[in-house]
Amino acid sequence: MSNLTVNAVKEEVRAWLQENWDAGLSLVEWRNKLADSGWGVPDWPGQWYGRDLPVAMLPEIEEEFAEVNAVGVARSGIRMLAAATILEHGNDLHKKEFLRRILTGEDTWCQLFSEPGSGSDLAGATTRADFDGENWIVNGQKLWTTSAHHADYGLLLARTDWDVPKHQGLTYFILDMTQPGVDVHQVKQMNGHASFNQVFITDATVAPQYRVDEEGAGWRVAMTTLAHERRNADGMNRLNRDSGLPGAIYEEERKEVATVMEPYKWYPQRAGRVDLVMQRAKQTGRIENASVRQEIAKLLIMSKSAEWTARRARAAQELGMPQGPEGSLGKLAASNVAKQASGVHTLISGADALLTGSDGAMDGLIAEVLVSVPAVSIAGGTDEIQRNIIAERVLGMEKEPRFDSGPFKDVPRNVV
Amino acid sequence: MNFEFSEEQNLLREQASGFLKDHCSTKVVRKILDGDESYDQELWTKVVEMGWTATVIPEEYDGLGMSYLELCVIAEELGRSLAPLPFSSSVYLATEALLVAGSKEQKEEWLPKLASGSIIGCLAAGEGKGQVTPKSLTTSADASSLSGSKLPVADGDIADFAVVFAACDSGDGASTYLVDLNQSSVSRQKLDTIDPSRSHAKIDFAGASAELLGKEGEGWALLNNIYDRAAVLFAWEQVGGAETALEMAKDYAMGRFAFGRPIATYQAIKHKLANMYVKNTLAKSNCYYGAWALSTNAPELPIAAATARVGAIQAYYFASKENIQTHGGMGFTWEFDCQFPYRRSKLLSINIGSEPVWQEKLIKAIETGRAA
Repeated sequence: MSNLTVNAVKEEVRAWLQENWDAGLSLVEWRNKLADSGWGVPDWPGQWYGRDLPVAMLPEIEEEFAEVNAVGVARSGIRMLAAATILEHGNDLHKKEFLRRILTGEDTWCQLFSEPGSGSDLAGATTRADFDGENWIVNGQKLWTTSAHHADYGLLLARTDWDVPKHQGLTYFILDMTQPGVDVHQVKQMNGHASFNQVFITDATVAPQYRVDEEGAGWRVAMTTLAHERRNADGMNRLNRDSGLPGAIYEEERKEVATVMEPYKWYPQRAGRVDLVMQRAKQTGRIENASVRQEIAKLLIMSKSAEWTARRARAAQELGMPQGPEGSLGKLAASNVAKQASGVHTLISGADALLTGSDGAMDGLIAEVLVSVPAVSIAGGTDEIQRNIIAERVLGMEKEPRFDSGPFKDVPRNVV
Repeated sequence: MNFEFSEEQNLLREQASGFLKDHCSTKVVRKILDGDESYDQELWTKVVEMGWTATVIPEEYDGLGMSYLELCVIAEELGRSLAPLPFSSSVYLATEALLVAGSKEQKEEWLPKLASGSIIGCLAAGEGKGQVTPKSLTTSADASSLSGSKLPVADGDIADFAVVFAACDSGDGASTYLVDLNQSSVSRQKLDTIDPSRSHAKIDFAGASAELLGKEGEGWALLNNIYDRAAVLFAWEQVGGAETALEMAKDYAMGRFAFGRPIATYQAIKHKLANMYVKNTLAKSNCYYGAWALSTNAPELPIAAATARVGAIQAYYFASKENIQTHGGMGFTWEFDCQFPYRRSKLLSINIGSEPVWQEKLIKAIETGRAA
């Protein structure tokens, strides 16, 4: 990508924004213009709302948007994972029907992969889809489904063949979440928040044209979704920052982001709130205690090393090196940091850390840290799974013998 | 800030690692461990010929004038090979002391000889029993005559001169001296330690002729500065050693069978090794931070050094003990090599101050306003 091209693109988008950006439009009106022009998702194919530009060009284009405070397409939440999956595996009908309304933010999506009986062992899904000659009939339960309570569509992984090994019997569907037979219930977590849902599916239907890719190709398609989930985790914050500007279109965007981000509001506490440690130690005078000092130092060192490791990984990627085990490493480091931080906060606050609500340390924030950190080593792949990944993919150690390689119907599994 | 070494630096690494593979197998380490020699003289001669002792010494003092990043690369490889050499004493400690505090005359006198390897330096701060502080120092100097006992001094039995810390009534409570160890008022006695592949000695000074290094009453500050600098270099050695321990454990686990399959297929072993890998990688990231601070003389050096040191101590100890565990009973025998990284990790976790000392340094540095 030469500077010449970059400058030409920047100039082009600048001119287009000058001509078209209008804060008086409604959010959907404006985003339809973005979809028509290709400037909303310039890295997408020209045929599908994009301009075939390299991903590396995006920050340059976003800079131009920021310059005039122009709003972008809807990028938050599961909808971008749906878009990436449809772009890669969907047919023209899927693209025509769903992509535009994803970009405008009119539709929200959720991901129906995990189940009560299969967490780490995602491919052991037992939600079934049976073809009745006309439609696919879906029955089963899904769990940990963020945003299911307001989603229009779900990315569904269901078993369509029980006579083949488990990875081969799965098929990927687009499920209409608003139909009868799809019941969504919030799941309350041990920290009192309810960020996820359980979805009960009883005789729900999927028309044959909403199968994504081939029958039996579900695992491969799901891998695409998950790869994008991992890749996007970093970009979320940048794209979701609040413009803070007055005006109807900004207000609409703010509301959209707030809805998507609502389940994540306790996530900083889940990560341990290392940022508060020094300040709390000084406020409480515990900084004078020699053993507290030692524990703080250990924590800050661990937290620094996690930060440097993430930055090293990013630098390596920018140099075009292949993606390594950074995801697993980062997750394990984060889970260490969170637990260590929770311990240090307890040391600093003492009995105050027990109290929730306004009686507690920092109005109960510290107590929320204590009851939120166990999630870090489970969500997004448990610590144990991350260690398997490192041992097998980085260190080259053989897999354990397994007992699920035969036809899935014969594999021992959970009764749910 | 860079998180990767340059192409030239990686070439240097390849050269260093190839050289050490050829000339510093664990057989060489074992020879020193079992024998009476204090270090491998043949290997030392070759290392000197490669110019490693001259790496950061400026060209005007016959050095190579390279950056600390090059020295970090060499340190990592020396650590990886567990080299039984006085490199750290002479290069990270004695050379650094002269570079930091030496007068022009002192630099002219000592640095060319350190660069060419014709002399070996060491640093004598501790006096046994507990953590050394300016108050605990009993070594004293009167005009240019120094008396007292120092132990354990790494490479004190074979070094030609020592950078010695003595009590001082003014300033920060300590002054630093250069003392020629080949004089009649100096006697030395080799000590037995947990890592016989690195020699240590007790040195007695009985009115030894000594020359002030730096200003009187600034010795404690100088010692801390040298330790900050050396901590980064030692950390790279430690990370190199920790990677060796992981490699040893991995190779063994993949070839050892129990209950009908390689023990590498058991999650108990896999997770152990994955934990080693995570700790090593995190520690290495801290080392990069340290290398950056050292090579740019950044004000963050005290924080970066403490971070690098603590991470490296933890990673090396963890990897070396889990390596023994992975090997089972054989790992605890004299015959197996697992003892080498374990011994070295213990030595390097104590030599220039243990974890609590550096953790306290870190908090103090943050408190005084140098944000991490």
